[in-house]
This record gives sequence, C-alpha cells and structure tokens, in this order.
Amino acid sequence: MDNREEIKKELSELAPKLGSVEKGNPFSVPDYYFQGLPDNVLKSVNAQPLPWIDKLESWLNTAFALIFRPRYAIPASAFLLGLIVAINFNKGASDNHAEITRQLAAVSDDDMSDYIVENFDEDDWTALTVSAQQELIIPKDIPSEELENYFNNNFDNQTLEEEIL
Amino acid sequence: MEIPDSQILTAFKNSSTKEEGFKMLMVKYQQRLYWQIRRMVLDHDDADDVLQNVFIKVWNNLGKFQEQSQLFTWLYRIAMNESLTFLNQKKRKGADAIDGVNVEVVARLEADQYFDGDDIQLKLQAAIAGLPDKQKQVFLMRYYDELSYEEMSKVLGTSVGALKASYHFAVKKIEIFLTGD
Repeated sequence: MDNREEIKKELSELAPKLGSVEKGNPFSVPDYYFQGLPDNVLKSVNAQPLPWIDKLESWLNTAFALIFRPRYAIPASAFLLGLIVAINFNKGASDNHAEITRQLAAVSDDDMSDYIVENFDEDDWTALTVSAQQELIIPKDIPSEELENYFNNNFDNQTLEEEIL
Repeated sequence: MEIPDSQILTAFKNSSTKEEGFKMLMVKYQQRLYWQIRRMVLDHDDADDVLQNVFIKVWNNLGKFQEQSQLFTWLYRIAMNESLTFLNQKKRKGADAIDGVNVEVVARLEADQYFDGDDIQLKLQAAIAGLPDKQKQVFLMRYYDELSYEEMSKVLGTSVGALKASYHFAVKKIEIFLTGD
C-alpha cells in the first residue's frame, strides 16, 4: 500500500467526516508571484551585510552588554579615565620639551657665554667639564679621582672657559 | 526535466555559478516550500516573508550542507522551523484564541482575496489554526504532503510513535470541530 492509500484509510477510520472532505487547495497567490520570486530573493540576498560585518556587530553588542553591567562598568570607567589622563600627561610632557628646545634655540651664543660666566662657580665648572669630557672622549674605566686630579693639575678656570666656549 | 540536486549543489559551490545554482534551487523547490509555509501561516504576505527568510538562510548555509540527508528534507526542516518561529512571534504579539480556534484567523481568511475555499474548507482551516503548533505541523505534513511517519521523523527529528500520537490527537480535534460535537 502506498503512502496516499495508507493515509486515506487511516483517516477514514479515525475521522470519517474529515476523511470525506475534498482535499483541494483553497489558497491562491498573486499573478506571476513564482516567476518573480527568485529575482526578489536574490536582491535580498545581495543586500545582506557582509558576514564579517555581522560578526563585528554581534561582538560589539556583546562587548557593550558586558561593559554596561554594573560590575564591569566601574572598572572599565576607571581604566578609560586612567588612559585619558596618561595620554594627556605624555602629550603635555612632549609639548613642554618641544617648547624648551624652541626657546633655547632662540638664545644667542653670546647670551649663553655671559650667563655661564656670571652664574657658574668652580664646582659647576668641574662638574660640567668632567661630565662633558666623560661623555665624549674619556674611557669609562678611569676613576673619577684621577680625572679630577688631572683637571686640577692641567687646567685653570680661564683655560676651561676657552676650551668649552 | 527536473534538475538533479547534485547539479544544483555543484553550481552553488562554484563562486562563478553560485547565483545560477541558487536560482535553480529556488525554481525547483519554491512552490513546494511555499505551500507548506502557506498552510502553516495562512496569509500570503506572511508566507512570502517566511519563504524569503528561508531562502536567505539557505543561501547562507548551503555551503555547509553535508549531503547526509536529502536536500529537500533539509529545506523542509528550515521552512518548518521558520514557520514555527513566525507563529510564535505572532502569538507573542497577542492573537486571540477562543476554545482552541483562532477566530481572528477565520475573519482574516473570509476577507482574504487569496483564499477561495468554500464553507467546509473555511471550517477546516479554522480547525487547523486552532491546533497547537507542533500538532498542526504534523497534521499538515501527513494530510497535505502525504509523508510517511518515517519521512516525517527524518525532517522533525521526532520518534515515529510520538508523531503517530500527535497526528491522531490532531485528527480527533478537527473531527470534533467539523461535526460540531
């Protein structure tokens, strides 16, 4: 017995009234509906957002849903605030350094010489020259006492001024 | 002559013929899917919306189709799930149900220009509309699509025994409604 016969027999036994109802299709569709459907569907398919945009949107939704939970909101806000302060601090320091360099570049050599002669004492000269010499030419393994002795024995203030300026 | 599923799948999996393959699939199956959906949701515009959603899902997932089941079984399952989702959403929006029969549906069918049934057909549709969704699904698959319980079991993933019980309950309810007892 095929499906149709079996179903018909089952139905007449279970529900004689329903079994006697003509099994027609009482529904209809607008004219040319099926002819136009594939093109309409393809338009919808091509208008879909790209899969990675969907994924990104879903990830962002999840992230925002988490962030705005009270238990995460306070640490997240504190972190963001800290980040903003750190960025501004670094930006300020960098701006200050640039400003100092700009101002120093505007000072003439004569003004610098006058300032050094008027304001530096002997200790400043020693520190300055030792530091400058060490950085430029002196090998690191020479002890500072020996260097100090060397400078004291070989340079007076006048000679140092001439060397440096 | 009907295009074999293997030809549709091969065309779909090739990026240069993907749209062509998808069009072949739609042309082959659109009517059968449409009528299954239409009997579930009754209204043409609703059926059109659901069917378009079904095809969009098919487009997005056909590349992952494993061919362990027949293509039509897979499509049928998507169509049934989409129809149930649609009906659940509609219910949440608050359709009235009195004595198991959706009176709003009857009024809608009477005014529907795409419903041409006589009184007994209207009564039958009203009775079907009053069934719980799962029973409605099982009844429609057996009564209109004439599927065996084994085929229904493959589509719905439900045991044959449970399907028989659902169908019998549904038929009895409709019979009572039609005979006016």
